[in-house]
Amino acid sequence: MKQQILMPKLRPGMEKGVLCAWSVRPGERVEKGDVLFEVETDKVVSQIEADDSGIVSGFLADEGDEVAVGQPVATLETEQ
Amino acid sequence: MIYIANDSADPAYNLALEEFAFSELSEDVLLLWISAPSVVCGKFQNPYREVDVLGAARRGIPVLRRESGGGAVYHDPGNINYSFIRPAAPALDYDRQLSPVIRALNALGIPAERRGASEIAAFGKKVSGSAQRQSKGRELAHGTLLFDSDLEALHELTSRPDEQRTRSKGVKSQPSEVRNMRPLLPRDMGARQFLEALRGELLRGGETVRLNPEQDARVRETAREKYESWAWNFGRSPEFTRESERPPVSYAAKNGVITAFSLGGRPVDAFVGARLEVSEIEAVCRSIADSPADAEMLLSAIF
Repeated sequence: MKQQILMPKLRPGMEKGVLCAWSVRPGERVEKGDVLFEVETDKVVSQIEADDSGIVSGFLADEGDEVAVGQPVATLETEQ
Repeated sequence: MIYIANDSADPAYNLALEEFAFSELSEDVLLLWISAPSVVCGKFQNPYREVDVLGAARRGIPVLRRESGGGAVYHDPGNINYSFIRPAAPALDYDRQLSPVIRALNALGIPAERRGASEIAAFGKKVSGSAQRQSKGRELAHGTLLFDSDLEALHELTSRPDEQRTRSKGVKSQPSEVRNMRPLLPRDMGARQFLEALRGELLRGGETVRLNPEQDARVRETAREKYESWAWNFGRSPEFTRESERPPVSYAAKNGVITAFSLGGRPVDAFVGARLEVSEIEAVCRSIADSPADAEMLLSAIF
């Protein structure tokens, strides 16, 4: 099953975050809890982890891009 | 909460100690630390845009990168840093970090107040900036406290008037007017004394510990392999281009290495592949310039 990986809302009122670095490559397999990417907002660097295991693909953001909360940044293809 | 006593003035050691407490310990930790003169950039900054890298090298001041976000800060023996390391809050939050620090400063007689999302100010000028890191359910919340810092050096090294010459991704610093807190104290004291007074206010009966030799060795290893390394501090810079008019230099760099270079519109291959590190670039400048003065102008245009 394909699910979208979204820019998370890390605090109330957060509208966007900068996707500063990908920790995975397109086509890479990740386990639940692996770090997918790092976001900076309000001088906070947060590591965003995978909610599920699967293959990450379809990257929609480059490192350094500002992305609105709730926008997809990649796709996770899970086994179920 | 435990307090790890640490007298090191080595900025690489101090950043490595924060990282050790973050990644290897499970307790809530408070650190208070003072580093020798150094510039510390946010994790995703381009030091070539944010910092006077040439000026820092000439003064023998190292430029480092930290794990938290935000902008470039200047450290010296007049600046005290605090770090809270603990389980991450459910939502990003600066209150939990700033309220106890402001209370402590107020208790020591400084009319500090919160300003904006993440700053502390006194009489309208910034005295403290802060930043955070969150990973695997743990949080590092830290900040600077300008006590008796060399504000001229701070300004010269971290505010770049010619920043528009550089086109780069990465997080921009947000310079603001700053002041030192020492002149605001009701009773004068030195930076170390102030640190100890802060410890009393912030620790509130928590235990003070020191690292054992094995832990200390691990911190030293991280300091050496990461925070003293060119690869971490400069090699992780975003791709960027830079231009200057006199002399007419234009170049592109990736991971801190020059990928294309032209002088007066003509490509100069001698620079391609060179690391943007002052002594390395200086050597190339000398090898192609007609005079030492020309080499110096070229060097200033590059940094």
